[in-house]
Amino acid sequence: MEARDHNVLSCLQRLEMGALGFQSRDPEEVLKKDRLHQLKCRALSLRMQRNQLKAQIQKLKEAKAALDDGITMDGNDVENRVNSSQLALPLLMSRHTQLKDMLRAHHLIGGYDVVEVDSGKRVSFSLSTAYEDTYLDTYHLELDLTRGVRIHRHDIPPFIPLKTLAQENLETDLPGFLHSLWQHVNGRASRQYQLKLIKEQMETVSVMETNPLCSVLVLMCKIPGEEDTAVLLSLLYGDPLKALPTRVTLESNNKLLPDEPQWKEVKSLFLKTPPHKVLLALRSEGRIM
Amino acid sequence: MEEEYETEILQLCEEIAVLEVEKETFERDVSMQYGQYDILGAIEEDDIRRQDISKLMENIEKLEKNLARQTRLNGITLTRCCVKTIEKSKIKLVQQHRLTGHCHLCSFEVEFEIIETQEDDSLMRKVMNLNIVVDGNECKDISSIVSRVEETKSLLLFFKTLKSFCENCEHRRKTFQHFKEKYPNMVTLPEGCQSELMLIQSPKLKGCSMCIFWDIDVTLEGEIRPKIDLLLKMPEEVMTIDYNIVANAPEYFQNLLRILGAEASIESVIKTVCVTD
Repeated sequence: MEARDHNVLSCLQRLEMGALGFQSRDPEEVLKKDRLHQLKCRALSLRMQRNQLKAQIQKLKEAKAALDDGITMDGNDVENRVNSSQLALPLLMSRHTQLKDMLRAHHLIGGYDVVEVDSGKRVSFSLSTAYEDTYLDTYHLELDLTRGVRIHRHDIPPFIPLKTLAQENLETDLPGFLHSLWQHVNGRASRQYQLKLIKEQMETVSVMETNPLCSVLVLMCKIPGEEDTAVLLSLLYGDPLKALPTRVTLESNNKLLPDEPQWKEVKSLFLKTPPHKVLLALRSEGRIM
Repeated sequence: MEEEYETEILQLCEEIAVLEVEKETFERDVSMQYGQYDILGAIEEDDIRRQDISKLMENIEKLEKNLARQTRLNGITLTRCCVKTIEKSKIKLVQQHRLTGHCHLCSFEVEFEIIETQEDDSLMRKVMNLNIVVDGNECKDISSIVSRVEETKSLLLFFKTLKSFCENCEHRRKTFQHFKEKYPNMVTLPEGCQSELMLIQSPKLKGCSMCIFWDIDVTLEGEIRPKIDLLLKMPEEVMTIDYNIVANAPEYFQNLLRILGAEASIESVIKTVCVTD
């Protein structure tokens, strides 16, 4: 069957080329004419699209003017019913855009973008993450609803305790499960983003240790004016849901430094303020390089 | 010849992009003023037979079903959504949004700007100019986090926190309401069922009253911390006999909470003053 189709296809191609006035069989010449033909078609279709948009905009303008004048689609108002077909398409188009806007709004405010797959047998959810004003990665989860509730597939990273969370309340409390999962995923995404900001904004600070869950962060900072003095900051994130550390340790080859009151203050600052902000402040005060 | 077409194609693409924004703007204007129309119901039979109209109606029905699904699962109802496109190009999109809606009994109006930029192979999206107004009996408790969220422009965090907070408030309201209905002679809600306070008094034991304080605290990081406390008030005579009842009651109640949970603990406390003759 295939070989025959190939012959039919090439036959049709030759006929088409002949119809378009392609006399020569020189491959380069053919290619050039082919490209021109493609460009011509594309220009034509774009022209059509442009004209269609202009016509739609015109219809919308007219519809709005009619509505402003008090024309309605009320079936009882015989006088104005004549205009209903004028209004139908623009009103439908407006409603369509309004619904798309609302669905996008749900997505922007952290909605799960629920989608039914395979005629309701499976449902997919999106988990959007964000840190302050910046949206981060989106994760996905597909559940199989045919026999109870089971996880069909997902792209949740392995260091997130998905199985444990699922055992807790996947079957009994789906919204609760999704919220817990989101908290884990968002917590980790936030910590990872803070680390990215540190690397970008504080090149003089060395990241000595980190892990995939971003639950440990060890940074080394140099002190300006003191060539051999370095400070080692260990941030331990005991709560996987939080973007702030639960324990901060400060060490230095200058044994007296950690006990100085200003550095003790720095330790407590790391417990309340995101690390990149603390480091930026310290650098602007000239306390670190 | 090729170049002519290529230039025309570029021009057309630009023109189309501008026209698309114009079309959307007109559509949104129409929705803003006339969006409450039951459009699907008002379409004439004749018009429905047109292929373009019936296809559009089909798509609209699908989108409406989808929106209902999102509203249900997200727990947030949007009543109004105004969008304005400030800038749109192949690599950048800036849109202003104003969302009005409610989550349980708390209503909100949120204004923000979204900037999307295409960077290499990824899309970068940021929030700018976030303004939030919340309204509702319980919402005075979240005013500090609202300020913090506006400062840091944490749009996503705000809505997740709002949802958790409102669910907790709803749980508290339903529980208080339930006990008021079950024990009408003993339970009073002096500040209404949306407050933190529930009073338990037995008409037979004058002078004894128990206060349940159900506080729903929200940290600046968006963590919800419900805290339920029991306070006992006893008449003088009882105090002289056994002062410890009053002193130990709060701790006793906390232990109960840990084992039985909120409803069962409150119920058992009510039952202790349910003395029958």
